Amino acid sequence: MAGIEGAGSSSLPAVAKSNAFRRRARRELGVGYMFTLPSVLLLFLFTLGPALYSLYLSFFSWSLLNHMHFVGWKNFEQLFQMPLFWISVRNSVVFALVVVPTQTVIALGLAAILNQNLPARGFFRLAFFFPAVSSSAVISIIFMWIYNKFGLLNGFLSVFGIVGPDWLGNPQFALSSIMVLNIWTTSGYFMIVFLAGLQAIPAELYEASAIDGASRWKSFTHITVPLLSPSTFFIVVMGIVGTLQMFDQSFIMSQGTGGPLNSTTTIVLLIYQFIFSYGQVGYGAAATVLLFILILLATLATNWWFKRKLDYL
Amino acid sequence: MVGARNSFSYRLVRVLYLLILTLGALAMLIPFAWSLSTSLKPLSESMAYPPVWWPHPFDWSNFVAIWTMVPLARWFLNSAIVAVSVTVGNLIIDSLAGYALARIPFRGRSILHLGIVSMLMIPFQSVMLPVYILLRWLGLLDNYGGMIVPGLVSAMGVFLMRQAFLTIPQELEDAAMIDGAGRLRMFWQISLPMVTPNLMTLALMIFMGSWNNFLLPLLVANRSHLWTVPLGIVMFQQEYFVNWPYLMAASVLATLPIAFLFLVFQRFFVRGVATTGLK
Amino acid sequence: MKQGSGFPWRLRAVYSRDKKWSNVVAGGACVVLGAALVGCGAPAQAAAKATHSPVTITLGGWTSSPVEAALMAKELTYFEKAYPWIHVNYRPISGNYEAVLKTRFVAGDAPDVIYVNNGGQSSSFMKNGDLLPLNKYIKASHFPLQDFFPGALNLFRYHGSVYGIPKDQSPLSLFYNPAMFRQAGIKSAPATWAQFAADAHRLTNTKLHRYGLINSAQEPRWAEFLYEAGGSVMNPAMTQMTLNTKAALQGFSFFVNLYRNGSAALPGTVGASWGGQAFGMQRAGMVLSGNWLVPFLEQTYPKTPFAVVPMPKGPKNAETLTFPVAYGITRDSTQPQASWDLIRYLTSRQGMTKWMNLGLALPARKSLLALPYYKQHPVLKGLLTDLPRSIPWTFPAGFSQLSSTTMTNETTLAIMGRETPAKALANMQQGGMAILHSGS
Repeated sequence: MAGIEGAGSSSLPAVAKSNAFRRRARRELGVGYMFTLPSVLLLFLFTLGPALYSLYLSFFSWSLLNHMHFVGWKNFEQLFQMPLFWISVRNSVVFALVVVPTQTVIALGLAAILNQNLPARGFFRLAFFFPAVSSSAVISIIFMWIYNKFGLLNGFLSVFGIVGPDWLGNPQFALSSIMVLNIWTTSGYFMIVFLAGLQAIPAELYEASAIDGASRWKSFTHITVPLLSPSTFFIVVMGIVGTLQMFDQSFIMSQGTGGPLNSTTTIVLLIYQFIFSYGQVGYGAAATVLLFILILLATLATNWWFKRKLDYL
Repeated sequence: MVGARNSFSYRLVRVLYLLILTLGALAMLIPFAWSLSTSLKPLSESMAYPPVWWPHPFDWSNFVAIWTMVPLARWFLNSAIVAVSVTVGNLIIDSLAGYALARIPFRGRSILHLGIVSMLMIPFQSVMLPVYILLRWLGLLDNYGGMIVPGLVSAMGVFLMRQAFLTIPQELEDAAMIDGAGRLRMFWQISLPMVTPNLMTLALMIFMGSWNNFLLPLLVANRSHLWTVPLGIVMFQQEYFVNWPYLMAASVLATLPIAFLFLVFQRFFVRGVATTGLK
Repeated sequence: MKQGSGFPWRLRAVYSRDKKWSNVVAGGACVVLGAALVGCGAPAQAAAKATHSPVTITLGGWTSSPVEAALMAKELTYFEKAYPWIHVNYRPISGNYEAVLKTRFVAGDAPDVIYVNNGGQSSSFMKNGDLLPLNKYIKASHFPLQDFFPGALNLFRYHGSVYGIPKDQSPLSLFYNPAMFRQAGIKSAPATWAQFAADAHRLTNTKLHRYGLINSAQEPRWAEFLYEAGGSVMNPAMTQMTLNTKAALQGFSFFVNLYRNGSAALPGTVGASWGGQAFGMQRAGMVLSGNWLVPFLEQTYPKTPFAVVPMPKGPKNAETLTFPVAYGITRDSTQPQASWDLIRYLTSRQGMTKWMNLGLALPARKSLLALPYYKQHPVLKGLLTDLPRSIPWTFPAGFSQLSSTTMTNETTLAIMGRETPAKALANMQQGGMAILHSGS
């Protein structure tokens, strides 16, 4: 990639060549930084800088209306002793642990089926992808209506004689309802990723395994799944990051309250509440730091696990 | 692929597959269909339980009334202004950065690359307060600037463009360099045109993301005539205590532009999603 | 928000009557005082404008609907006519008022005049010094405070200074559906706890998804029962929690048991997001709510009949809650005098009368209880009766998480039967005392 350009200067003496090289390198440096300057500047201003400022704020106590004062590690200590914080961690982790495998498996299954020679493939592809295209805010509103005690879901269940609960108002079901919503939204999106990965697998491999007498299931598990590892890895990591950062749905569907008995309070929602509802910016910032660490650890763990599988392969 | 041992079981499996796909597709589309159905009913009928699918009669008045109940046209305009600006900005800035990271050898490039990718892990919700304070300092609150500027660059966009430029054959650029072309000309006249499909994909993804964005407008746009469509709908829900037919009418209208874009450009959407997974 | 077909006509009639009256008085005052203190008419305007340089102030606050916002904007044009050197930028805050306001404070962008809410917001603002003390402005304009309800005024007093002038309030009263009552054979609205519980039971018909009472589990919906039993949530000085008394337990248990024995339900159970909506959907026979329910029902559920009576009397008294809101001046305002002029105008008898005639809230001034508007709207009588004996709802600073989330959760657990009412109260007591002791 970083080729040393000497192609056009083969007739020059060596010194001139290396001078030309140095000048070129310097110019490249300038151009390189110029090209990346806007993005770096903006990303620093609006992502990295604020993140560092959040880190800074996590050592202070501030209600937004009074003056900040330094409290050191106290915010973190208080957070670790706060039941609501652990509830939010539990909710976020449970959410991620349920949603990520489920949407991955469903996406894979759908992709595998869609990869067969079936009619109306284009239509199915469209239909599955559509939820990912609309606004999470609008979808949350639509699902609030569907999950209503007298909404579509309970109407459907009543056909079977089941009296459905108030899905979003019942502490037992509220989080699961949002999980289902999330899976519904993203499975189709990830299905497309798997589909592309599937289509990249050469057909000869399957033919060879069929000749060897391998069953469909075996060729699926021994050829398809391992060769899909890069896609799977991508989907799992995106899934983890996305689920741990989920905000819009839990905010809108609980109207900012965090759900019945805090059952849909995720870490991110709690951060929002700390800052904007309870006036405890220090806690919010500390929770932000902890969330970032959690995401980092989860991503590294996934990375390690997949590398191990690839090595084994 | 399957041995023609038993053509009946082969057909059965295919029927089974079609059934699964159909059920799945239905599950994906039913919520939208239901929102359309509700939007065509008056409030009293929408409360009927068990739910009635087919409105009796088709009441289009909600779609008419919603434009006057809330400044929906203004919200669409706001969404359009913000989304288009953000998209254009991203196209320029992301491709410049992606090109540099892919093709220009300069010191510190890999660190920059790592840095930009790691930004993907910082959720906006965590940095909303500092971002808000910064926007105030820059005078970008309560106007379009505050909704546009923070979104002008996307780490994911840079990443995607880098991927795209990496796939361009190196020889073309080498040839141009022999001819003495500067980087900017190379970028503009040779490399960029070659990644036009990726640019289309990037444009669509960014436009969609900006159109659907909820949290940033929530923070920046305090006056209701600056709201974007998703924000307006949620605010509407909170203020009007859930008049579902109106809400659903607004939701349908909000989804239409993106649905239209998606149907017309589906190739690019699908491509974009597919290529992100193939590292 | 459409108030019914006759509304614009009525407003104009009342307004023009008021304006003529106020012109006479003001003209007289101008002649006597010769100063632009009470919204003078034309003669003093030119003089006033000459002695004042033009200023611009910002008014923030929330708004329940675009119609309310439009009407406030109209109010402000009348103010600007009376005070031609002052221009008011009306910037209502939509969404989470407190959250947005706080971020504006941080950014140094707060409006000059804001609404100060009850429920702990006033405590928090006053404690942090975010509002200007108004005493010197009150004194300089000889603005009399006796006409205001003392309870409402005290909500915005801190360490002897006044930080807010009440603009309106609403008590919590009992709304009921007369048609449902007739159907159930109940002759009149309940006046005591016993009747209330009995009526709720009779009105409940789960086959019709109908409950006698539907209310959320939030504390400002059950605190009045504690007062009516002779107890309270906190002591008057707000230095102690008083949830551990027998009276508190009696009141709280009364509320919880209504749910436990099935005559009351949470709004989600009938597919509504709040009690008022459930009532409008005719899934509730009764709901505890305030004046804000009236325009909501008239606009969104016009076919639902309703009537209002005072809160049923408890073992000790018939006290209920009220929710006053005030105007305050933010501490960084660069135009405190102009801001004060606006507040004075809007909370004067004339200014408040105009606001009351919109029917959005009830007066903070005692003298306005007898407004002609209320004679024309007898449906509000129950609310007006409750107003003088209501206790303003508030908490000290630092209580927002407890009062909104924790108390609701504990109440929900008690309602679900997962906790005894005593245990729920004990948890709330403990939580509140912890906050008080940490001195935050």
